[in-house]
Amino acid sequence: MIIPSWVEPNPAREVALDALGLSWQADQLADELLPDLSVLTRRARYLSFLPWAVSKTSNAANPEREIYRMEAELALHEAKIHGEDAKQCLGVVGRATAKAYLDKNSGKSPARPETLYKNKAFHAYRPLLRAIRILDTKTAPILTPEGKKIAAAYGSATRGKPACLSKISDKERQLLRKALGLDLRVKTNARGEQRRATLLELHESFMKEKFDPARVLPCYASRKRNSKEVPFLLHKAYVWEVLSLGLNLAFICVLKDMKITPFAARLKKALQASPTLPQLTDTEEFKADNEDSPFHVVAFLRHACALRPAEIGLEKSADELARRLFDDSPMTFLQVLLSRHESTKGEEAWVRSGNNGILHRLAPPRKGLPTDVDLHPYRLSAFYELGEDLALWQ
Amino acid sequence: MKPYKGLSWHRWGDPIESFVSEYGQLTPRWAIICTYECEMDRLEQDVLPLFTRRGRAFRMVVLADAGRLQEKFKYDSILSGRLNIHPVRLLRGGVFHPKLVLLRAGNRIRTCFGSANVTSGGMGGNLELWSHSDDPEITGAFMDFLDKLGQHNIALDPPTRRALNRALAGHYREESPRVWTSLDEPFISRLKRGDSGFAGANRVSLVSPAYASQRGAEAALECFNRPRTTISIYTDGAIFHGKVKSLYYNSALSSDAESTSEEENTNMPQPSRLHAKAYLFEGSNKAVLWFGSANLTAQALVRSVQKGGNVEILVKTAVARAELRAFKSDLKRLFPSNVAPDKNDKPVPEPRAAHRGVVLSGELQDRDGVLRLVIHTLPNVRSVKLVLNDNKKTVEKTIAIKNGRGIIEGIAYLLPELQDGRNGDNWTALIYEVVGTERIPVIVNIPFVAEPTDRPAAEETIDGWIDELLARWPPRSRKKKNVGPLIPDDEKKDDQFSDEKDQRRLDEAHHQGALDRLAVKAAIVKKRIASAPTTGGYREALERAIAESLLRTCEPHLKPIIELWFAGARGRKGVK
Repeated sequence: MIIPSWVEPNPAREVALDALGLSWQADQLADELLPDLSVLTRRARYLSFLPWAVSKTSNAANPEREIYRMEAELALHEAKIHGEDAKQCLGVVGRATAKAYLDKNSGKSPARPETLYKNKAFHAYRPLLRAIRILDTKTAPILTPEGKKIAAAYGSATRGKPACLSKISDKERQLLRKALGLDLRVKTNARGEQRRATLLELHESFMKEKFDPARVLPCYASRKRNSKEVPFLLHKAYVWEVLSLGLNLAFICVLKDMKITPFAARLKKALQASPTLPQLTDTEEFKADNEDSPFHVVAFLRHACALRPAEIGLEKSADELARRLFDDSPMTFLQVLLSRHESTKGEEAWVRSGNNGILHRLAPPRKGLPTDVDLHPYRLSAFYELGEDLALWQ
Repeated sequence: MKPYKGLSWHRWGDPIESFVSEYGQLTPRWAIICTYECEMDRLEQDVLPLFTRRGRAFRMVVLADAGRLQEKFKYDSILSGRLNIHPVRLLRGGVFHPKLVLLRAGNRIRTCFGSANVTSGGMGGNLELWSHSDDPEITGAFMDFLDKLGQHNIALDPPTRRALNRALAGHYREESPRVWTSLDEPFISRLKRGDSGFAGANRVSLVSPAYASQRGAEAALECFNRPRTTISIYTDGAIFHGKVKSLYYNSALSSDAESTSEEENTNMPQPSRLHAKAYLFEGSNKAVLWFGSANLTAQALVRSVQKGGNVEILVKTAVARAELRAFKSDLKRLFPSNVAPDKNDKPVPEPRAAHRGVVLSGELQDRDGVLRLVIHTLPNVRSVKLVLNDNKKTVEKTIAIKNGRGIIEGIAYLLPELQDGRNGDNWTALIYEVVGTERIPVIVNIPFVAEPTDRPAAEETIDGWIDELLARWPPRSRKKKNVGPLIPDDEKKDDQFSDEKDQRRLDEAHHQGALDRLAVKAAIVKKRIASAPTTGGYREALERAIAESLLRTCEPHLKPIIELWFAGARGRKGVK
């Protein structure tokens, strides 16, 4: 007998709020700048804790379930030692859920910690662990010889007891820097070289900014002649951010009205002015209900077009779309913008264009239609946090 | 209050994972995925890894709607992984809309089916119904469906046809009354037959997103309108408002929904939009559920493919009392009746992207070490203009087309992502067809099954079969001798030593003459087939398929000897 079931949502695969399909380009640039890292790989000690957990569970009937149990126990430990202080020791997967559970159950840990939360740290860090050859590439979790050394270093430092991610030992740091290609004394592979090059480019100038993209990228607004690879990548990221901000801001403004015509009229007015380019750090300004939004859109897109995104290898259709605002009319620009959303999202489009510029609301994303826009992270802040654990910024 | 108990929730990939785990050591291994639309990053990150676990690589072929793929690749140019992606065009309107995963490992087949596309929504963002079956009647019906694609005004490029033929080789296929596809008749006609479950039903529950237009909604509802039959609709838009007495909306799927019952499982998943399609017919003593890809629209249910309808699939299942209670309990929770429809919610037509241009696809071929691009087009095309990009500049080429086929020689520098051929990590790339001022994306694949040529190629043909039977991944390149893991990186298996022995024989035969090499390879193939677990004539059917492919491609003077080698496939008189 065939019994249908519902498809279980995967929280680790939350539907991205990428209305116009612009994230792929940012992800590609991030991959070139910091290969194998992600916005989730923020804490270096997971790269030694998880191998240690793998080594302890290799004989278990279900090693992954045991690894989840151990990482949940770590989350509970972190929740206990850091208590109410939400700003201490960030980036611990499941810590907030663990704290909520402990508060609700008078500090008593769950009988099955592995069911405490769904987004496992092992899922988030495993691709990096494989890429830097701490874990074997087979599906079953198996350590490489390097991974075994790192696991031993963790075990030795903690003596097998749960330990705070912030208290990483020198031995673990040394091994992890080497594995990530961030130990300048040791030869590394091509991807490690790339991470190293990004580290060296950003290290001196941007430590104070903690690699905040809003502060880092504007320093690469102009493309230097004969620029080496990382500065050019950062310049491309800057251009892409300006372009994305303009397009995404225009889109959410149209969503707010659920009509094209009102915002098209405001854009027409803004085109006659000479609006100043906003700072990327002025994120509070990039909201649908901000009256200055049409001016911001014009300023961003004018600036982006002047930097010629397609010529430096960025997505051509986004460049062409932006130019429509200036070469055609605001109405045409917005219509093509909406068409891009429908093409990108297909059956999962949030809105669909109807007659007379009215939008039909379909099912929005779970968190509702967006009302503001953010920069793409390019993994920079996560890299900074990782570097803090590895004492790279001292 | 009784504890809530609805249908179970499973991840999209669960039936695939369990199949690969249980049967993944058998060969040949194929995965055919049919979807309306496809997100490349989901394919790369969530789907492809399911089929490459433990080195048990499956040859993965994705079939998706041509118009939708063209829209997708207007903005998304990333295609990665060792897989093939093929657009499917319906030439009389309609879209390719089935959601199906067919897995083959040796003589084992599993089909997974329902409403989920290969998208973030399909893999848990939406409310989707999904199931699977290893029942030969169901799998046979789906293989029959795949066999029939390419007929009925559906344009399927030749590499797809070759891949499907190869993937299904040796397996039994036949229609079944439990599987309806729109290739044969519209669903409205299927309902008229006594075994549909509709005839004896006094209560009908329809679950579908509100994609229909006004007229489409009326035409679709007409399928179910009958005296003394109560119709309830569970949907997400107001298009059916006023057309039936019982209308339920899915406000519980919105971002504002809160669980109010303490008995409810606080970990109950909350997808954000309705995408499931189900048709439940309840009679006095039985209930029948049809579920799959077809929305409650005229395009899906009323028109056949020949008359401009979509390609759709629905599967019939008799619903036991417990499952019926569970399903209705879910509908009650997910579609609360106390939510009034938004009267300002205007009807929204079903999303469709029309395909454009005349080029179906491209395939990369290796002819004596020189890469060439073969373009496949619709019939009656004389030439096409293409744009290719070699990272430094854009090159335009006009190609003459004859019988739906055109060739560009020496293509390697124009498709850098495919330069490594079968040894590379990417087996797909994009080029563009120029139509007026528009550039329409065209997918180029390195095909799993090479195109037959005019030249004799028996050895090439048998090498392809050996690659599959020995689970070589990547398949062996004829250009380089020692490339990639010729023996798969499987976990320990019983015939590991047999693989090494066969490989040694192949290496030794490398230095022998062509006929001796072919004989050794034929013997290995036969031995592999003989050792395969057998059900219902599978071995004979597979051997026959291999023999026939060899006879089609061999030199004429080799035919008698090949017939002799494979004499057992068709009885004493040999293969014909």
